[in-house]
Amino acid sequence: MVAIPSRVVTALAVETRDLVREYKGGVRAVNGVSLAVASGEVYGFLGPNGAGKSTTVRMLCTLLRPTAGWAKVAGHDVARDAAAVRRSIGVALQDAAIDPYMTGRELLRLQGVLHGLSRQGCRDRADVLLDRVGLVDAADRRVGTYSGGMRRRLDLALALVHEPVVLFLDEPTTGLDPLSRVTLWDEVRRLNTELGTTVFLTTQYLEEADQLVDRLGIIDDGRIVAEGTPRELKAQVGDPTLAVTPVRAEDRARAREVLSGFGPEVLGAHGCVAVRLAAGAEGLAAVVRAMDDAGVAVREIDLAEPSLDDVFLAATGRHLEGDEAPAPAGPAPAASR
Amino acid sequence: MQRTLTVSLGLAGRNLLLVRRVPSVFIPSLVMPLFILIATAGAFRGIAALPEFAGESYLAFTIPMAATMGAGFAGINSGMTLARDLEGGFFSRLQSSPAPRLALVLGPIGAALVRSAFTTTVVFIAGGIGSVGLPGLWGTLTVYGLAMAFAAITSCWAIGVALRAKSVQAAPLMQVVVFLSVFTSVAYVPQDALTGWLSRVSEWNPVTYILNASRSAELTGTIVWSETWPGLVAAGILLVVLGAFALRPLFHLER
Repeated sequence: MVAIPSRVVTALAVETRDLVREYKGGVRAVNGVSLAVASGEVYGFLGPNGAGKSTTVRMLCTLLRPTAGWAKVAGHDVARDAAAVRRSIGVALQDAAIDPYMTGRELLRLQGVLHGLSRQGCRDRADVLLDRVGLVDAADRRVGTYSGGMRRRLDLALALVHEPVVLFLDEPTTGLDPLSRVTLWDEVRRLNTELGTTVFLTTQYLEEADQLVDRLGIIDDGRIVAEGTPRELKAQVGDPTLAVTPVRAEDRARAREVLSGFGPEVLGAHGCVAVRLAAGAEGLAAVVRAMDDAGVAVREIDLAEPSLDDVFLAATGRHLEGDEAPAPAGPAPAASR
Repeated sequence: MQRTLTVSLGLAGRNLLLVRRVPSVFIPSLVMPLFILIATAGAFRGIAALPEFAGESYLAFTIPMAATMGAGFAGINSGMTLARDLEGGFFSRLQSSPAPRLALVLGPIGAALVRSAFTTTVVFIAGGIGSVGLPGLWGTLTVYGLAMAFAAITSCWAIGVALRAKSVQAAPLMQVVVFLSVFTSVAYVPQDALTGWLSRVSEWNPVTYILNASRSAELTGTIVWSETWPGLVAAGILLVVLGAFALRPLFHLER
């Protein structure tokens, strides 16, 4: 059983045990996934294309039957009580499947009908959600004319029509520009904090996983290979890297000598000396003092945590493919950590 | 039941909205039956001199066939819209909602009924321009009713194909079966005038009985039960069989 963080409250919003989905020919897209997501949590599934993220979500949304194992969403079994699961969930699948010939308002009203809202209820809910996702001005335009970001926001609004207990977002920001991506993250955070909606999202973007989720499952080849909060996962990989760039190039040898007392040297960028900081981030002040005492004038100090890519590398032996997000490339400045 | 009806109406409304928004899809299915009506009545009107026609106007004889063809197009279009929804992922949205499964099929069928009623109206108007008046209240209602029944039948067929193929690529299969079913029936001449294999096929073709019932209503202006009940039975059997064909994969789609 997976450990649940203490901040989350009551029952499990999503629970699976040894979940398997096997296709014809014996291909196992999902191969024994067990997880538990608490109510009010933002849980992320991080993995490359073909890892089994979407297949898992499709099983949890009752769109695909598990071949073996079981899954419960909002306390209902996805195979035996699919109708109850559907009443509890909001779903925004990959590629925002939205009819391009309908307007945003029409789609929201239709979604309301599907969820059994009254005629007036559909109208009111559509107005509220259009306002919430910032699409009031585009509400009566055909969706075919929307930008990718607008479509995703509409997709999110559609998933929220009936105020679901659990929201599934399958790669919600794939293909979006950075600004639209951040806007969507803000909205997901708002939903989670203001309404307490449990969010289960899949992503192949490291930055998204890092910024948005409370807890993360790293999935590869149909199995969860690591799970925990992003901080926990990164801590499991190792200590942060400290990179010091002296003002004068001739001070590099002295800087190396000082830093050798704080951890083993690692390969750093040109002009800097880098070590694995054994004391963690807390050791930074001591490093600064030691540099000062040694008379090394420092131009830049960077402290970088291990990234989720390092976590993926440690768990699978390879880097996460398809991470196209503009994730921070080098070590983050110490002050911003 | 109330919920099934509400959701069906909502989905039918959406399908009809698409008809309005994408006229390129609708216009051919309206023009084709009219073209068949005008071209057939013009080219073959001479054969109405055959004794099997008993002196009836060939245009009046062809009106039920054109209405039936229009209904067939409406049914095919429902299947194609559903296939497009399956391909584009919109159907997953419907499936992941708590909407009654039956409504996911009844909605597109409802849209086909409305479309076929519209096409039948246009066919009647074209007949009126050609001096063939409406066949009285019961005759008119019967032609409408049977056309709508055929729209429901062909919808079930096309939806069943769409749910299995999950691709618009299956459209030719939807179309060819509907066209063949009409053209191997008594579409152009009465049963007595058919000879050889076509006569034999048409005898077994249930569309023959639907067309005979519709034609009887059109030509006599009333309901002649001896002609009507075989048509109703044929339509009923087709609806049950093809209804099951359409619904079965819907409940197993996630397997």
